[in-house]
Amino acid sequence: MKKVLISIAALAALSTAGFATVNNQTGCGLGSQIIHDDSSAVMLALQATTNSTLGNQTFGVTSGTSGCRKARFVMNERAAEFVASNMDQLSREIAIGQGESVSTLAELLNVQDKAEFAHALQANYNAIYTSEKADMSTVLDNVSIIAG
Amino acid sequence: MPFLLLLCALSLSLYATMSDELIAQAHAKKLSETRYWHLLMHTPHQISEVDDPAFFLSPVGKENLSSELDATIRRFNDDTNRSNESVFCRFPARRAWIEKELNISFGEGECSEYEALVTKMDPQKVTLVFPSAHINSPASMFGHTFLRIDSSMESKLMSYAINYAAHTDDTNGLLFAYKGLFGGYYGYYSMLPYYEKLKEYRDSESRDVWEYDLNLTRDEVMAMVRHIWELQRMNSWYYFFDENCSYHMLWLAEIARPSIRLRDHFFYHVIPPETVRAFEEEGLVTTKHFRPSKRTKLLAYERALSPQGMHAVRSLGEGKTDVNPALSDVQDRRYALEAAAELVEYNFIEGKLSKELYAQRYHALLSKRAALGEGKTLPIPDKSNPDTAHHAARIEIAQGWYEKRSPLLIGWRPAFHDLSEDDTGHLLGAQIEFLDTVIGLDRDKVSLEKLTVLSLASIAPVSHFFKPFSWRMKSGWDREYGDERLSFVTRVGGGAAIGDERLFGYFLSEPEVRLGFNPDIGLGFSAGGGINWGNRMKSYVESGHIFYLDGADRSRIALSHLWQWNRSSAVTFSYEASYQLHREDRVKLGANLYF
Repeated sequence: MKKVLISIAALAALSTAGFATVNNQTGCGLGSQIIHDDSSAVMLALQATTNSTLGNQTFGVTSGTSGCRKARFVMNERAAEFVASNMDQLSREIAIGQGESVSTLAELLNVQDKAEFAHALQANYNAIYTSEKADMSTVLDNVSIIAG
Repeated sequence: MPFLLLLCALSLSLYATMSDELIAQAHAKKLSETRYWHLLMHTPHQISEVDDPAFFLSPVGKENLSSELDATIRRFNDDTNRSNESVFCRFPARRAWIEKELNISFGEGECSEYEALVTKMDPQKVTLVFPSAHINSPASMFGHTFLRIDSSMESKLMSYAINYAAHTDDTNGLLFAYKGLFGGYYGYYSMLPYYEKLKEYRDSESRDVWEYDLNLTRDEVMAMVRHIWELQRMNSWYYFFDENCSYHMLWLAEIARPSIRLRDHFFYHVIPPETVRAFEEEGLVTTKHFRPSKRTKLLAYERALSPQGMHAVRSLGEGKTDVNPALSDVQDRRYALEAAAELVEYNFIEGKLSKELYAQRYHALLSKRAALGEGKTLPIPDKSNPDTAHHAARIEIAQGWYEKRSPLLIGWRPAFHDLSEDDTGHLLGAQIEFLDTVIGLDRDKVSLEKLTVLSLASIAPVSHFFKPFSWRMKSGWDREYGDERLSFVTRVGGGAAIGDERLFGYFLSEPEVRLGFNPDIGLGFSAGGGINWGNRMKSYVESGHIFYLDGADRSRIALSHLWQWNRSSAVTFSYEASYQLHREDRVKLGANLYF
């Protein structure tokens, strides 16, 4: 876990170079996953003795979007946080057309018909994730346009 | 001016009398001796387990609960500062409880931070979460438990996870283990959105996650949240065996519903899967859910894909995107693209792909996948719930028929699971044993047959997508070398395994060092396997050959069969033949009791 947050911070720093502040919880685009500690098996075996975490002592209710560009059409901080932290999972579920992240997003955006929402996003994947560099704000704005 | 002074003095004395009166009432009701005050103070007997001085308002609060209660009442009543960092705002659970018990109100405060938390959390329900073991880390079999506070949202991803873990800056594995076991790290509570915990356990560590919804009422949940607020930034010494993550979750649940006695289910060590059972036995669990890990999902794709599809996944994952025409079935194509995306993400998590390359491939694969429209949902095979696994501690009673003697064998193992035991509820191929001790009773003497200090094994089958290394280690006394004499052996080995939950096999190369009456060094090779027949019956076989530097080679074959009657008992039969200068046969018939 030690290296995890450092790597994330480093990656976030790389991906958001140009922004003044760096969000060290997640980036704003793809790659929001936690990089696995590449410890040896023995290290892993030993580490389990502490359920160790470093820098995971957060007692906050936000995962933060401070390093990300703001969405233009969606003024919804919780949706922004969720999308920024779940870019990878969300994009895969949108491409497949179902999943918990998609229905969570629907709920956060107060969409009534979740099945229709998932269906519409699936059909418009390429309009939402325009390139691999798409970030939270683009995704959220595009989703809001498609879901109407 | 004198008038003002007088007024101040008056009001001060007014406050003072009121506080004294409240304290007197609390004494009359013997509040500091009640169970709830002990719970709030994390005090099982006399001394609080919280080690942070900031948690106590009396200088002797850690040892003296009565003095702490007096100080608490006084501060609530007298302090004029009622902003965020004040005692008034920092201890909402104590405040609510004292107000209720004394039937008074301390009035209003300005606790904007706490209010903001409660508003955002919107606490309604609580779920106990258990991420099971991850592959190649047998010690993680002990698992981990944390609580999730659910809001009125339908989505559980937006819930908050309350976690207790040790905080460390050490990178040295040995130091890490030593301090984890014997103290030296502080444990802290943390709170994170549940999706972050899923990324950590389900995705990054590839651990299956089990959830147990609890039937706590909204008031009970609020009592818990108030107390969680009191614990933020508070530290306690962390101990792997007893004062660990799961233990702290027991406290939180008892705070919510003081009539339950979760901690009484444990007498020395608190093992996370056992905490799940304690919650169940206290009648707290309503429904159970399973979230497959990334690895479980990828293995499910392996089952669903055609052989060509499997091959396609590999090339797709490597960035060769032009494989579509090879797969005629559109669902196979969908699965192949989905699996490739999962695999690429897995490799990124494992640090095998740069972020740029990952983003590029991931996006390209999903884009192609999206073009194929909606398809079937990937079927994921059921897994046995960890709450059905055999209990952690074992007593073994067996009759042995050996070459020269027929001892009655009595064994005791505090934890946890070995390869020959029933895998129901466990990760396949994971073994961890502590202090497995067996005593042999003959007609005229008592002898130590075996004392395993620690043994670990990770038999992790390779598959199309995963190529894990299998390994095993053991350190302890046994009578396997030369004429049944006791010697201390340390053995560490590695190899590979194939198979699945039903049938598996492995091959390991294992160097060993023997100390004792005749020190020796050996290099052994072992091959083994197991069959889970269903109905909690398992057969296990292992054969090996070991070359010693001094002593003669030794060959060995062992067969065992176990029937796990229920979570608490099993019947076992084993046969072992070994040859080192001469042949020896050992037969054993016995019963295991788990609790």
